Amino acid sequence: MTTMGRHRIPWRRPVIVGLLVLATAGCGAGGDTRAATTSHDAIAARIQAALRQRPDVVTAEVNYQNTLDASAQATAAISVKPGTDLDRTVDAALRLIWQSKLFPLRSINLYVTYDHGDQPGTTRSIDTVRQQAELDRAYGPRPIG
Amino acid sequence: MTGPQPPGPDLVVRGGAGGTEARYEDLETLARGSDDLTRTLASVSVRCAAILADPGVIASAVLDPVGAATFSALLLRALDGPDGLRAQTVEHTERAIALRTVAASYRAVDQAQAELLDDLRWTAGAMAVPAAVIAVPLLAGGAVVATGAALANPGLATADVAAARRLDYQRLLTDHPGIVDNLVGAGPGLVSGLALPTGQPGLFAGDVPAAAHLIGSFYPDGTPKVTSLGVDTRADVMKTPPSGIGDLMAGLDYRNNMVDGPDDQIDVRVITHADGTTSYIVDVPGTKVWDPPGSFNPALNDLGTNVHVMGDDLTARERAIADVLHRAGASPSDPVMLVGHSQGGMVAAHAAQDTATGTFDYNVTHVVTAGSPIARFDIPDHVQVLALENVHDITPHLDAAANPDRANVTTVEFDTQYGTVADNHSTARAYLPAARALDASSDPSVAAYRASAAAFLGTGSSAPTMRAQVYRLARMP
Repeated sequence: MTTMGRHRIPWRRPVIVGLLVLATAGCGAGGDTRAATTSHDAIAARIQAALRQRPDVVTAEVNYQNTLDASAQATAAISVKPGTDLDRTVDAALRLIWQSKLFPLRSINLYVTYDHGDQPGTTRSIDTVRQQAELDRAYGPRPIG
Repeated sequence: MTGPQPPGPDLVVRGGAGGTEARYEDLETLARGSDDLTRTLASVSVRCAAILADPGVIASAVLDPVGAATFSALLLRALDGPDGLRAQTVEHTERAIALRTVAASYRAVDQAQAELLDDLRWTAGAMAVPAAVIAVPLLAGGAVVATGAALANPGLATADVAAARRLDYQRLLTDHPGIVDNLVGAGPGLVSGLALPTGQPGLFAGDVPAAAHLIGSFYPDGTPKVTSLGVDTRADVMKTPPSGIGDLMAGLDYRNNMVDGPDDQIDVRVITHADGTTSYIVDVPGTKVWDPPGSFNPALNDLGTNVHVMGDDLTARERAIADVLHRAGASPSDPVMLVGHSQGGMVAAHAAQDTATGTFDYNVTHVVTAGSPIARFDIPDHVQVLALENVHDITPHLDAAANPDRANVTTVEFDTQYGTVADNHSTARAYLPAARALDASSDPSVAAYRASAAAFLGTGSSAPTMRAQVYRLARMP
């Protein structure tokens, strides 16, 4: 069943399109609407600005994604000055994200590196569902969405 | 705040060096061994037969008739006796034929089963229309009866609506992802079935790739535009060579996390060994833009690329990867590993397929995919593929086929169920923990894959260095 039919019927095209696009695009179900994306981008930008104002931070990038291929997750990549206590930077970033109105939020990914030198940084991947109690204890309950 | 990491999921490995196809190849190796033995035995037989006619042997019969007769009798028995050389030659010839027949038969059965499954799904799709023609009036009649019953007993209707609301469709799909195989596999047949009531001639006899190829015409693919974004030092995983499959997946997860929406980015991890040789790992995230057909989209990581690659088309995203490798300094002989999630894995597998024809002119030796439907690609024997599939992730089912059990295709299945389509497909929550667990696996197929990938894993005697170059990809008209 690998050959194309000899007689193609034009109206079949949109039908096939409908079927397979539904089959594949259906997988995107559960993602953000355009309005939600704009709102999430704005919140992520505020978290990013707050991190950049910290004296230990050189640069910071924060994003939030909620698609099939990156589900309900916030990511922060932070570069810090040499000698910085990485745990304190991680703690500050986690607090900002946890206390933000990024909903839904099922994972937080943090990448913190030193701006110069070969000293290793740290990477944290936090499952907010599994670790909710721990996060609540450390940073308080999440705000109401 | 990381806490103890949960244990990785259980892993089930199919294919690869310890798989069924490898055993078929073992049978063929045995057959070749029998061939060699047959040739040796035949050669010895000929030489022994020549000894019987040797003038020296004939002349010795005059001097020692009994001894010569005994010698000839023994040699003849060695040649033509029940266990003689000639009998063994025949036996080993038969064995070689039998081994080849068994291997060919097993392969034919595997192939026939896969084709039968395709045909069954196609037929189910085609029969759906006549079945609907019969079923709709019956259901309509049933609805009339049900409405009457509901009017007579309002509580019954309320209970039905509540039950329908309770049905968790994502949970249903992720618990039974085979539904997706059947729906996608039935699609082409369904289209053909829709034509039957109209009496229009001809059937759409194509399979899933043929249908996807057709749909691809609604998604203009354009040409790729690549922009260098420089070296990425924002994470340790981009600075240190990977030491295992977990680190490979961590790099892909990082890139997937950093790519936000239509701003498609991939990276090349350039690994330089102490002896000066260089190998390249390309991280290719998945779909970020779910666009309807019919209009040009500048994002290469869109649904259109999915449709094109599933339709076996050479995509602009694949050409962009070739461009990126060129910019990163890869030569056509340097070893390249492509690591992709979802669509990224499909494009990676297709690029590997295209190395056979030279369409993708780089030395792709390894591919790692996470949650990608790659079963229908014809991966060349020189490319080693490691395919990770969460059994509750529906995405690998979108090609309506199981990965082939081949010596160079190792499929690792694991069982991570979060109850939603997206979480089960997540690099961070599903595939990264599984890849970390895979590092501890002693399965022969996984071990063989790891050993073959030494040029990328920094596991050799030298201490390689690494830099990661990032590129932005876009589609031009």
